[in-house]
Amino acid sequence: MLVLSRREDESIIINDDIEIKVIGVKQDQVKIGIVAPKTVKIFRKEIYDEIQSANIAAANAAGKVGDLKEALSQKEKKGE
Amino acid sequence: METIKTKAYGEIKVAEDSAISFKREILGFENYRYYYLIEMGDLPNFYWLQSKDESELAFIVVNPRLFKPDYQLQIDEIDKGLLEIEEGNELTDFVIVNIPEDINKMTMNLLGPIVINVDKRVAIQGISLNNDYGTKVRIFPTVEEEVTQTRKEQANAAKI
Repeated sequence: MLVLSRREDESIIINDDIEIKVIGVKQDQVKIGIVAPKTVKIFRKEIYDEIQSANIAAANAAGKVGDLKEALSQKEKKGE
Repeated sequence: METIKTKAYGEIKVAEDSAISFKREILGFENYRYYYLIEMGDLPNFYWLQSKDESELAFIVVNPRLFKPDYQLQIDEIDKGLLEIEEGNELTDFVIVNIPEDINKMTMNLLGPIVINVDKRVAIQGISLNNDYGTKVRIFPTVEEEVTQTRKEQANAAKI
């Protein structure tokens, strides 16, 4: 990993057209501003991690088709 | 027709060349690009997403509107670009179902919808632009949860 030190209001340019700027530093939080073309996808990494772990759990549980049928038919009977 | 191997249904027959190609793979399963989408005959609105290359890899997916009628698919232009959408193409979207120990606590992942361009047979796992959509949304919510969710949505609507 490339590690650079930056101060408030200083930036990093990636690939000519993506600017990452340190907007402010407060205690344990860093506020970051990003300027990038519309074709660049930007999400917090937690979003990816969350989706990935949900996918893995779902793949592990996909075999429970019988349980699913059972549960849905019970709900139907109850009129839910 | 060709015969394929599935995780829960054994060998079944599907139409020749009917696999869907993921232009952005399901997160965590980047090595698997091709899947068959199979109707789960006895479970209306539920589909079986079966990996073509790994018979042990499959997902249960569902139309989220079945349980959340106001669900809206919101994905960005990059995701739409990957789907190679042209005029007249039919799009369909699903969400992945997770079945925990207690099946009453079954959830669906509204944050990472599966979107398919039916005409081009290409798909992605998108990332929803709606921040209220989580990865573990209860399919059968308890009454309290429904109230909390509605309040949250109302609060956000008020902000706009």
